[in-house]
Amino acid sequence: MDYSMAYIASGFGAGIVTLGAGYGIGNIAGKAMEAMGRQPEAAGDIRTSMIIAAALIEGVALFCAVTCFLLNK
Amino acid sequence: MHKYLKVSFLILVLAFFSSAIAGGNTEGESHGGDEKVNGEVIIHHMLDASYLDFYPIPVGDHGKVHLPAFPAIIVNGVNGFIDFTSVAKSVNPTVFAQEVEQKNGIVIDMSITKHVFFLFVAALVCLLIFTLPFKKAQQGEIVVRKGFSNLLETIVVFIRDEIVYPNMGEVQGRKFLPLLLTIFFFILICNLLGLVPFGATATGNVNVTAGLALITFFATQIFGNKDYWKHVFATPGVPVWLLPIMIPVEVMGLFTKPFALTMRLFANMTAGHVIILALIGLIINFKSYGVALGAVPGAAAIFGLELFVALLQSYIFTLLSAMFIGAAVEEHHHEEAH
Repeated sequence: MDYSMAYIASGFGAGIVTLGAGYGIGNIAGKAMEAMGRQPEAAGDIRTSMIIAAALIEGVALFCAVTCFLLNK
Repeated sequence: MHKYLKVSFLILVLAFFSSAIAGGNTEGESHGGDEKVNGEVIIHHMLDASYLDFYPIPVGDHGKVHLPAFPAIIVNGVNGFIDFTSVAKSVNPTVFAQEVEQKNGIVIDMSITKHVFFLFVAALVCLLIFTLPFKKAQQGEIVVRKGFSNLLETIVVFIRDEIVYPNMGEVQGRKFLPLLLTIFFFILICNLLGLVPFGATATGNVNVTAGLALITFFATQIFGNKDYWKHVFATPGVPVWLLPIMIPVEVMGLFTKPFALTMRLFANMTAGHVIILALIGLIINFKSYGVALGAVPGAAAIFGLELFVALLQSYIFTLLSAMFIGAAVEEHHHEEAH
């Protein structure tokens, strides 16, 4: 059987996952910076929430990355 | 100020040499001038092995120091009989594979591998750095901590006040603090051991991270109170007709959380090493010292990033563990909005 399309799919998949996760985490970080600029005294709380939200997005991205990884087998 | 400059210069030099040695290891594995550093070589470097690799230093068998290997235990799935293979896997792989196929059962191989060895080292380091200052303090020798134990105290207090207490509350937090501190320091030391020359990242092995995530998983399920299970099987405020959809989603959520913990730590610890090896591999692939001018500083920069990632990932693992366990054990007040 020819698996070449699976390799192409895994490559494209990983790229698209990166786009999505990068956009999402970038958005969170940008908004968090804005919020910290407006209210520096709440910087600690904002940072924690930012990391948690980023970690959740990263989790989804990693699921997809694993899927791409499995396609590569 | 002068002292700090010296220290940071020393770290930079160490980073340089470490990334160069990482490249040296890869070169040693490719045997011969025509071979290239490709994905296979890099993955081989990341995988578990039955030996410690000290390649440029002539110790053991061409820089390979073999670790104790034991014959595997084979448990027969049908009648539960226990059998052994006659050789260890690393001693004679072909005979081992034949015997495993012939005897047909669940294989339990307890041989000590590279990653297991570094798990032991991490555990030992963890024990030493905490028990020695603790004993001193018990004897009443220290009132104000200095140097390294002061650094440790700062980190411990940071985890207590910034991670555990805000997410779990003081009463429950005090109960789970030892567990979470152990998780943090164990992961941190495992991560950092991968950056030491000739070291290996035990947390770059998916089995290790899965084991760590299972600790969080079982802590969550075992200590979860009534409200936690109520949220899984009868989420408050959800119409009854939605429950057939909600319950499978919630039950799946129980398992995706440790899975995400596993993959996050594993992927982050693997990715950095792959980048360093790929950058150093460029020198070998292009067969030119000129490439080193760009590749080695690049690898050193990634090495610096890896130091940060090692800290960040242990922090995130601890934070999420604290959140998951905290959400399961905290007392809910149902008058409040969810």
